[in-house]
Amino acid sequence: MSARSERLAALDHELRTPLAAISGYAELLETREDEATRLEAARMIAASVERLRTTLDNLLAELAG
Amino acid sequence: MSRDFVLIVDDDEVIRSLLRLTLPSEGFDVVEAESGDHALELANGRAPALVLLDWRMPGRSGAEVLTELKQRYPRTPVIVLTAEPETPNRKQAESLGADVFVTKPFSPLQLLSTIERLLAERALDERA
Repeated sequence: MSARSERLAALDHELRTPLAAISGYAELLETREDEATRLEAARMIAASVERLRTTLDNLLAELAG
Repeated sequence: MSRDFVLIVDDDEVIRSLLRLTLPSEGFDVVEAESGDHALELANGRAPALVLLDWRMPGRSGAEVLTELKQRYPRTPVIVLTAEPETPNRKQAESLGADVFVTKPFSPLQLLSTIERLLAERALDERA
């Protein structure tokens, strides 16, 4: 795999993993009633949004570089 | 006799936690591995009831873990999870014996019904 396609695959993974977390936990928030699961879901959504923000910031800095 | 266990293999803690919350809460233990090596160690000498396996991991890849697991326990269902919707990965996973291939993002509810179906099939298979 070339350096460029390796970077793209890594970026794909870095973006899709927190997206998967956000959509998955959002579904659990909608469908589960127990407080512990809902709290965990909300905490993980917030952490994943933060992770996406960092990935996007790094990507923009890389592109601007 | 020890209880059946489901093995979750993913290097990402957030996804492992999501998978753990997705699983049915009763009937078996849930064991988590953050690497392929750890997963194979946990499945040493004892067949998991089902495995949820991340495809892209640092170190030993999902493909290597799948190959080894299927050699040891051909009847254990393995669900491969990947963030990359590439067809070659799916084809490789299926050729190595993956029972189901799921791309992230995934619906926990749909995944739960897939897990329940595979566990029911395995139970029938064991009784046969």
